[in-house]
Amino acid sequence: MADPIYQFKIKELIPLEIFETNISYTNSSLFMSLSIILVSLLLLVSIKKKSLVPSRLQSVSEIFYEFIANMVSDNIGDKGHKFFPLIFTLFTFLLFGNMLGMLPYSFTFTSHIIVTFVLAMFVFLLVTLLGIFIHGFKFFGLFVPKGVPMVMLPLMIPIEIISYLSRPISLSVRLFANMMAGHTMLKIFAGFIVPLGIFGIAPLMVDVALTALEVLIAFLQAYVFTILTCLYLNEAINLH
Amino acid sequence: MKKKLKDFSKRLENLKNLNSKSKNKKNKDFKDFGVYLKSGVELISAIIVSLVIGIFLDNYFQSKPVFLIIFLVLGFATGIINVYRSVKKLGFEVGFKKKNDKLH
Repeated sequence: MADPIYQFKIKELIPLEIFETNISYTNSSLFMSLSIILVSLLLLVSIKKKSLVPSRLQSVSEIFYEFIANMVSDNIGDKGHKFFPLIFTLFTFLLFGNMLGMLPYSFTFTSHIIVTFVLAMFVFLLVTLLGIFIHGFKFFGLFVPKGVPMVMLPLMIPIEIISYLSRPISLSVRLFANMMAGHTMLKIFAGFIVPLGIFGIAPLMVDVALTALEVLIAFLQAYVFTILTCLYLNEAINLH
Repeated sequence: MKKKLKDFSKRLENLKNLNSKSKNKKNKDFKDFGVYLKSGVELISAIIVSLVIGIFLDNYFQSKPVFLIIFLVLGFATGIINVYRSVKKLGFEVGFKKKNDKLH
């Protein structure tokens, strides 16, 4: 049976080393570049011929735009429009990364925790710095919950701080774990198909169903990542 | 002609209403799904963070295992609170209900 973990192996396509640091161009980097190139191509080509009645491609990019614009205005409000490019980039990058991973022989860069952790850490640092920059010292009022008795505060403040610090971890682990678990499961079931002979139809059917589920998960995880980014930004900007 | 136009605008209005209704419902179901997906990781991540803080403080103050134990308990509490919040859709506010809160 094929090794289900082998698909996550990083291969160096163009070995490169600077100051004893390995910065090779790997298959992970290849698919990251591919994701960015595809998104840019889609957007550039689709708006080339602007028409009132959109062509298929144009409506795809319009749907993307409206989806994110609604998400931003629903979750952050008017002040959030400055962050539209960031959120749009984040969503399309993750979505195309996840979806490219669903193609045979491809590589899912979101199935490596370091990739998702760097993205989550970037969001976390941005939100924290933004909050401090906008609200100054008041931003730390976030850790003092409303409507809690004074006696409980010494217990609640550490809990709030841990809760705040756990955000980048939960954000990154959620995406990484979902992508890795799904792809491993697909591979394990696929490994049973040929050895079982005629009975291989059963794992094949499971695999077909799982593929559909994985496409849903790929979209949903990109969505969850971006909507949580929106919620965190909302908290930093509007500070309830 | 006028009658026709009136009829048309009425039909258009009806269709618009229908569309927005079904869209809203779909959106809500979708959001719910996201909430349940994220609750599992919430518990673990709080524990991981508190574990790291505990070990770090113990190394700093040379006080093995005092801080580790304190922060593990706190981390577990945090995880439970986070799951509670996300399931009750309280967002990131404190996990206490207000008196006239409709969520329950």
